[in-house]
Order: sequence, then structure tokens, then C-alpha cells
Amino acid sequence: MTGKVWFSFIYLGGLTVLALLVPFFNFDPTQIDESLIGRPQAPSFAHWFGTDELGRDILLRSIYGSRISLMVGFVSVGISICIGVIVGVLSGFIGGRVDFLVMRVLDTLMALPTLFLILIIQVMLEPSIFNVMVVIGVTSWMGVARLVRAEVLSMKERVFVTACRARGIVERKILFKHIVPHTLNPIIVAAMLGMGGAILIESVLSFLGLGVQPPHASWGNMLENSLGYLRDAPWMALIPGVLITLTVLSLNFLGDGLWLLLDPKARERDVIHT
Amino acid sequence: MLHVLYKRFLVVVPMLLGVTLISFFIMKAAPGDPVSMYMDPSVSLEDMQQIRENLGFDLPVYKQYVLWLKELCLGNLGYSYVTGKPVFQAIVERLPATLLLSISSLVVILLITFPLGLICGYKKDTLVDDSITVFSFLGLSIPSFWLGLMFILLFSLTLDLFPTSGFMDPLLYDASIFQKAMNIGYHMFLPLLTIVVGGIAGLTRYNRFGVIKILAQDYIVAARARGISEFRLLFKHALKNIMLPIITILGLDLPSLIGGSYIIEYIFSWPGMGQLGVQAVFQRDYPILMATILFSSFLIIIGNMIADICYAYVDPRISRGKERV
Amino acid sequence: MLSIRNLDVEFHSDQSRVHAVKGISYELSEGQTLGIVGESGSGKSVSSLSILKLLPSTARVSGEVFWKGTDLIKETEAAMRLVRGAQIGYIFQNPLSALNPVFTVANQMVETICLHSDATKEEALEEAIELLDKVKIENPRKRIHDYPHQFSLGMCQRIMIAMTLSMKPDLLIADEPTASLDVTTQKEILELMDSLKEEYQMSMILISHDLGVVAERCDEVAVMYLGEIVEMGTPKDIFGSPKEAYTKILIDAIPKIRF
Repeated sequence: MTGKVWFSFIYLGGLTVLALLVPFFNFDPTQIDESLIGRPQAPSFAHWFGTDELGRDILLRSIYGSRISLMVGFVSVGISICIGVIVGVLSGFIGGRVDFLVMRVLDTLMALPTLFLILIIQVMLEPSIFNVMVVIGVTSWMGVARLVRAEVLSMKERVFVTACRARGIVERKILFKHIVPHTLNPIIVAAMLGMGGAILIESVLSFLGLGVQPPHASWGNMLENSLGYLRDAPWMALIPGVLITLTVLSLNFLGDGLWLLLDPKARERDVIHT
Repeated sequence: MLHVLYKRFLVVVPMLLGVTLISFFIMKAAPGDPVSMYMDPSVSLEDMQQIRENLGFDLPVYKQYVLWLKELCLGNLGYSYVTGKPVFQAIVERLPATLLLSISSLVVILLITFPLGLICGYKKDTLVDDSITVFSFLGLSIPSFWLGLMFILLFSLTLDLFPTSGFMDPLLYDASIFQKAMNIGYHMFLPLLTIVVGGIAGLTRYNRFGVIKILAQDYIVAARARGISEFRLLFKHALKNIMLPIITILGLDLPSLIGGSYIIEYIFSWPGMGQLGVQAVFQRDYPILMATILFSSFLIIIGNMIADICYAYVDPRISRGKERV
Repeated sequence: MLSIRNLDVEFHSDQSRVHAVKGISYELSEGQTLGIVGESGSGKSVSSLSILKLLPSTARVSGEVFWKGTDLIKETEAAMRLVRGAQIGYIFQNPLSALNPVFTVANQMVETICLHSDATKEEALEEAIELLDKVKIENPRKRIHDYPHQFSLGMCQRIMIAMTLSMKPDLLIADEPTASLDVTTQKEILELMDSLKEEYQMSMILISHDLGVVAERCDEVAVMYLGEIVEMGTPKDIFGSPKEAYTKILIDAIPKIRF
């Protein structure tokens, strides 16, 4: 288990450092090499990841693409967690009819094919990186809301909450001081997994031309460009795909590792009968 | 059993209405004027206004919704902006291919995930378990559209084993049914494989945890104490119990399974609803988009209902009631 | 018939080790009933489960368990399968959780009977119905097709007893068979077990924290505390003149009713 977590830390750490530092160097990911247009070059010493159909360096574009992916991951998960926590906490804490109604609305929203819904909304809006992040955030909070609500409901039943009430502590204070902090662990885990999901969705959107627009680089639109060269320049399709996979894989590993770390119940693998 | 159906029904009807409401607002929010989309530019503004009134566009929104819903029940979903064909007809034409692909991938996913999950749970923390776990994480993390591209690159362009796209060779239009079925299966192999790789990953993870939990239960130890073989223990006693949580998870996963398969349909030019929908995205064909999301949501809700019925069927504690004697 | 020497069980996990049973030894001859008493966590169940090698894989078991001349600790899984149920039957504390919730009683009983005999399914079903009748389940021909959750706890324990007896074991290990039942049902179940033990001529290990239950029906009693047998002897010796301080505490803990 620890091996996977270390791999994820090192990979994501390295990627983040590269993504943060690359603008300080004088590289231009959109620089076109006119002599190489239409003739993508295979990976070589000069271009470690090769060049694309416009003679642009794929390594540099990949690093710039990681900026997009990481940003989409952070911002859209931030949005979805904010909405999810607010809805989940309120619904769980208020309970009763409000809770019932909220849950039915959640059920309905969850019955929509999320990816396709995002596609449609993106079609109606201007395709831009900002819109991508907002749309992913606003359409993927339902899972978080359910999770938080379930946690709040189980917390409400605990004796320590009743004890707080017995001591005359105000409801609002009980909620924010004693209940909400307890929901933190599952939220952190959900955030890790959610970031992976958001990065995948962004890649689909950019791949279909509904996300990051050229000439800016994103892993998704690099894949779109590779379509015409699948047979002649397979590295153009391979590299961004492998990067997406590794990034999402690391986030999933981290989420899983954190889950085992934060939730001791999950570690209790054997039940000893006595 | 009947009370299960009845209860489900009470939940499903508001959900269906909710989905129609969302689809309706997507249609309303879509940019562009539906009337001018169909009309010749030479039609005068006054005539356009008249047409608009005839279609009920000057009514308050809720009345428009009721009107729209009534038409929906009659099977009228409007006309495609691009081809001018009735949307309902376009969708229904595409439904069989989508159902064929999604149901077969679901069946294959289930056939693979149960044995894998049982092995992982039984042999937990061994080499077998660890490698299956890493593979299932990998399956969860690979963008499925890219995986599809890689399969095309490997199996079609390099090895020339499977066709890159399509549903059936057009030359076979008067061949026997068996030949046609074989040919469709041949075309379906790559898209199916792509969906299955992504689909089994998550389920196998859940399956593994479920199996670990179930194998620690008293009834497993008790069955072992009666001398029942490990194989029977796993594939009879544990399997039927693990089916319960997996049915629930499957129901929850349905939206992402169906949504994800749309991109795959597009990549492999599989003539299903997904391909229609993604093409409509490029063409800004809003009536088709609205209908695609409406029909997929219907499919998901129906799928969920089937999952609930299966759950009740497998779990006697629900189908046989709670009475104790 | 059964002879246990220096049985030792340790549970290993990533963080901790639990020494559950610390080298206990006892003997049981044919037709005898041995009572094992002690508080929960004293190693009663763990030591008995290890006779049949039913502990999870984290358990390290050492020592010798001689059953009819062979050491079960050294036996293979395949050989153990022939001992489990057919020679040594085990009755669990919570009968409802010991029955698989998603199969009918008939299904589970027929499976068990067919496993240990050549009976056809029809014959096995008839035998199962007879057994249910014997453990006093009313209307067994109809009820056998019900699921475990449709029976009360006491009924479930009767079913478990019937299922265990269907394999005609030579030794019955009853692990707190009445602990999860209410008092009147407890009495009925114990009486049922007494009469069946006579009829089937079995030896028995009766695990309990209830000294009263053990005193009435055991030939010998072992008192366990923190994984060790602290005292062993006839009920008369143990209750008449307990030597160990812990035994005295246990005896004092029996509620005394004065009229």
C-alpha cells in the first residue's frame, strides 16, 4: 500500500512543481516550427516527447497541459465540495420534509448522464477553461452532498451531540463545532477521487473541442490533434493519454491510501470471534 | 413483491417528471430561436409572430411545459434542426444499437467482476489480490475514449484484427441472420472491450471489500464448520450475498456507465444514441440533444428500477417480508 | 477421544499481537460432557474454534489436538473437511447470524445432508423435515421452505441443532448456545440438547459463562481466565471447594435468590 502512496506523492509532486515553474522559463508552447508542419517528429534527443503536427514540442505542451488539468481538478472539486457540503449539512441537520425533498431532487439529478449533461451545457456556453471548471463543479456535487448528509445523520444520533444539547449549547454551535469537523475525513477522500474524475471530464471536453481552445495546450486537445496522425505518429496520442492515466491513477491511489489512514474501521480487516 | 414495486413507483414518477422538467429547460435555455431555425428567411416577421403564437410560444412558461409534456406523451419531440426528421423517430432508430451495446457490456462486466472480486476477497493481500487491485485502479484511471483510440491503434491499425468502426458490413444486407449477428458481434468487440475495462474496475473494488466483509460473517464460519468446501462457500454462500451490494452499486453507476459509453459509441462510430448525441453537440442540434438526455435518463431510471426489483428478488428479507414466527 | 496438549493461539496483525490462548491442555473421553466457563475474551471460543481450524488466517495455532488418534493441527484442509460436521459438530452463539440469510432452511439443510451421505435431494429433504420435527419446529413440512429471518431466535437455534445433528457427529461443541436467547427459551433449548445427547450418544463440549448451566450437566468443568485454564475438576470439586481466587469470584457472581 505504501508503495502506491509514495509513487503518487512523487509523481504528483513532480508534476505540480513542473507546472508551477514552467512559466518562469522562456519557453513558448505555442511556437510553431514551420519546417516541420504536417511532419510530426518521433521522440528524439532534441524533443524528448517528439513534436506534433505543427512542429511544436510535445514535452513542453504536456507540461502546460498539466497546468490545465491540475487547475481544473482543484477548482472544480473546490466548487463541488462547497455546494455538496452546504446542501448535505443543511439537508441532514434540518431533516424531515426538507431532507426528503432535497434527497428526491438529488436522486433526479443523479439520474442524468453527467458527462452528457456537461457536454450540452458546454455547447450553450462559450468554450473556455473557466466555464469548464465551473460546469464540472456545478454538475458533480451530488455525491459529496449524499456523503456529507449520511455522515451528519449518523453524527446527530451520537450520544455526544445529545450531551451537547443537554448542556444547553446552541444548535448552530453544535453543528459547526461538533458535527461539521467530523465530516472532514470522507470529504478529503472524496476530493481526491473527485479531482481524478474532473481531470477525466476535462480531457473528454477538450478532446471534443468543447474545452480548452487552441492554441493553448491541454492533454485533451492534444489528443484531438493526434486523431489524424494515429497511424503515422502514435506518440502524439500515447503521451497525453499516459499522462492523464498516471495523474488520475495517483489521485485514486492517494484517495484510497488516505481512506485507509483516516478511517480506522477500514483497517479492521479481520473480525476475531471471541 | 408487490409492495416493493408500488413503493418504487412512488419514487420513480416524480423522478421522471423532474427529468422532463430539466430537459424542457435545456430546450428553453438553448440559444437561437426554434421558429426561425425551420423557416425560410423570406417569411415575413408578422407571419413568424403568427407561427410563434400558434405554437404557444407566447404562453407563460409553465403552460408551455404542460403543452410540451402532452406532446411528449404522444411521441412528438419536435424536429431536428439539421435533418428536419422527427426527433422521436431518430432516437428510436438508434435505441437498439445502444441497448445492444450497453446490455452486453453489462452482462460481460458482471460475468467478470464476480469471480475477480471473490478471488481478491478470498486471497486478500496476496500477490493475486494486489495485482488485480492495481489493474482495477488502472481501469478506473484510464480515460475510456483514449483507451478506445489505443485499441483502434493496436487491434485495427497495427494488427488488423478488428474493424475500426461501424455496426455491420453493408454488403451483408441480404445475408442470413446468423451471419449478420456474427458480423455485428465482430464490430462490437472493440467498443465492448473498452467499456468493460472501465466498468469492471470500480465494481471489482467494491466486490472485493464486500467479499472480505461477508467471509468474516458467522454463517460462513458455520458453513465451513459443517464441512462445506471452500469452492461452494465462495460460489454459493458468499456469491448470493455479495450480489446485494453489487446490485445497489450497479444502479448508482448506471449514469456514468451510460454516459461513458456515449463517447465510446462516438469513437467507434457505433450507430447508437450516443453517437447521435455527440454529433448533435457538434451541430448544435438542440432538439436531438434534449431528446438524448431525456431518453438516457429514462433508461437510467428504468435500469435503477430493475436493479431494485432484482435486489428484492435476491434478498428474501425484502421479498418475504419481516414477519417472524 | 479428544486430547488437547499445549494449545496456543496468537493473533497477528500489522500493529498488534493478541495472545488469546496460552498453552491449554485437556482430555475428553467418549460420552463425556466437558464444560468450559469463563468471561468473554477468556479464550473459550477461540480454543474451541481452533480444534476445527476455523480461525481467520491471522491466527497462529500451535500445540496438538488429537482426535481419534490423529493430530488435527497437522491435517490438510481436505482432511479437515471430513472431520468438520461429520465427526465434530459446532453450534454457534448467535443462531440467526450462523444461518445464511439468503437461502431457505431447506436449501441449507439438504446441502449439509447430501454432503455427508449418499442421499438424494428428496431423501435429504424428508430427513431434514423429520429432524425439524424432532427439535420441535411446528409444521416442519411447510416451514422448512422459509428463510432464517422468518424464524424467532430460539427457533433458529433449534434449526442449527437439527442441522448439526443431521451429520451425526461424535462430538458436539456448543459455543454458548443459549447466550443470545431469553430465559424461558434457554431452558427449552438446554433440555432439548440434553435429550438429544442421550439419543445420539455424543460427547459434548459446552461453553458458557453461566456456571449454573454447566454445573447441572457436565462431567468435568474447566475454568478459563485470560487464555489459560486456571482450574479443572468435577463440578462438585469446583463449586464445592474452589481453589483459585478467580473461580471463587465467578461463583460469587452467580445471583442468589432467597425466598
